[in-house]
Amino acid sequence: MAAKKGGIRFGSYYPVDSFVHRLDPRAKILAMLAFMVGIFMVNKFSVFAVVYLAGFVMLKTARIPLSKALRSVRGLVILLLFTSLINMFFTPGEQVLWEAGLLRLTVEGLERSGLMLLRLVALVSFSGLLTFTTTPIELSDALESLLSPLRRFGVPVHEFAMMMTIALRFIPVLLEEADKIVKAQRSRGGDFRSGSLRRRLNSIIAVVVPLLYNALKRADDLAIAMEARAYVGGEGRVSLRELRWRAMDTLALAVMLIFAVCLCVSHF
Amino acid sequence: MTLRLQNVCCRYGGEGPLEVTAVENISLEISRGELVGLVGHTGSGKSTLAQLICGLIAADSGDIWLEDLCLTPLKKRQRPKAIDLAQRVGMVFQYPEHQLFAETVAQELAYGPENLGWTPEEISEATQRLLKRLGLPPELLTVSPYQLSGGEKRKVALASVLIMQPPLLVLDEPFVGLDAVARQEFLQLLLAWQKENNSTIICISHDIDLLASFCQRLLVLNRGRLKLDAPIRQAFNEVELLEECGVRLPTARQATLAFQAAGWQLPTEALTLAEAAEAIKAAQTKAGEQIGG
Repeated sequence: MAAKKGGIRFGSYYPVDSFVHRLDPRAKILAMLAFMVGIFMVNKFSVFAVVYLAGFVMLKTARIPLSKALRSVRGLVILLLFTSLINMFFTPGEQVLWEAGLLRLTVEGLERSGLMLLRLVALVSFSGLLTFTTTPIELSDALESLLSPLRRFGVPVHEFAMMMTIALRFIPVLLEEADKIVKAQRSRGGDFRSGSLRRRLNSIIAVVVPLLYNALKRADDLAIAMEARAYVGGEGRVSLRELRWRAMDTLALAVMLIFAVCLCVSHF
Repeated sequence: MTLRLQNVCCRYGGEGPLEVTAVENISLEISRGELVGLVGHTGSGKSTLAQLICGLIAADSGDIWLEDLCLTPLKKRQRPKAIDLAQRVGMVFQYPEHQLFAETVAQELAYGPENLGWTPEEISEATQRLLKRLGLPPELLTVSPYQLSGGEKRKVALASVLIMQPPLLVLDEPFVGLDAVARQEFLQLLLAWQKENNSTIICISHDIDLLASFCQRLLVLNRGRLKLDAPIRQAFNEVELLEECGVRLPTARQATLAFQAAGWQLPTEALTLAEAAEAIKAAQTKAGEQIGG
């Protein structure tokens, strides 16, 4: 169900059908990793033009509106501003354009801050390609599958994935519940935004206590329900949602790997 | 306290594929003291409408007025404050016992009135009166609400809203999870309180028999639209419309219809089983007279 209005939104999955949505989540994770590494290695403006072009083409293929991808950048404006200013004024360089006390604006500084800005914006907006097109459950299944070789070294991969799945599964439930309790207390005159500190604190307690109580009770119920269905852990379990690797996935991953390698090579 | 809605629309999920229209173009007016039932199948927009009326979510368009308080101002800053709302309308959510938080029942009950700025004397007086009304022992006040039984928890949660004496009370499935006896008791307490305060009650429920036993007016929602708004007796004459909206007829009405289908002549306006029994008995007597005469 969609997030309730006036409530807290979670997750960024964008439910449309596209080529990217249909790819195996493992392919998407690996391709995204490669793309990120590639972006980190880019150090020329001309190459960034290619990166952005590729990114936009991929967003288009995934049928994600550009505005949605850029929205994630909005939350990072302060960080972006800060890093670019620091880079701009504190990069040592030869060609000084302007100087005042500790601050020195150099051509190198401008260049570096520009590159850094492009890099961060690319990372943030294109990483949405993974989360917009893959449901959290798919992600955690894919992680379990990708990490499964570690099982040989005694890493509890299945338990880790199960924890992640349960946590992801219950975040919307808890958010909905929090939303309901906030509304219930609000209709009793509880106000988190105005009033004395003591009253506001009391209002927060009135939400947190029942929320925690219900969450613990729910965890208890879930444990009993899982035991009742003979859940004993990872050994010999099969998955309801089988991940299937198709030729398309190999192709997409290969294209991305080649692209990422090209990006890395451009560094030198 | 008159409640007025004019062309109210409300959507969820922003624009795009997640968008859901929950409430579409609803206009209605409810005056003080009315007992209104709100029905419709799951996802028909009942809860959204209830929360809109309580000012807990904002409408996308249209106007909602609680007497002189506008819940849908043009500017966000002019939205009514929690206190202004709480003085006019109380909302009892589904499973209201999930909102209990205080260390003792007394503190739980005092939370609302404290927010409204009542004095401790006023609060304690109102608490005593309400406990008596709800038939709860005074010893309960010092107990933690988490230690109570399910039925008692529900009563305390209800009391925590009733104590503020809202002129308009909205209840979202208040009877869910209560057994038949507890349901009746809960309803009687609610109605007694309503009579004392002359409050308006809007009650969402799937228990159509219970609604039929006390509501004066029925609102039927289907896919966010108000399909029917009628006095309760007439509302159940719209058999086809109700079926289309996934609303069951009260048992009494089903019984009289069944008797009619079997060839008996009797009126159909029965709402409760007692009324249906009356009608059947009258029809029987009449039939007997005809045979005899």
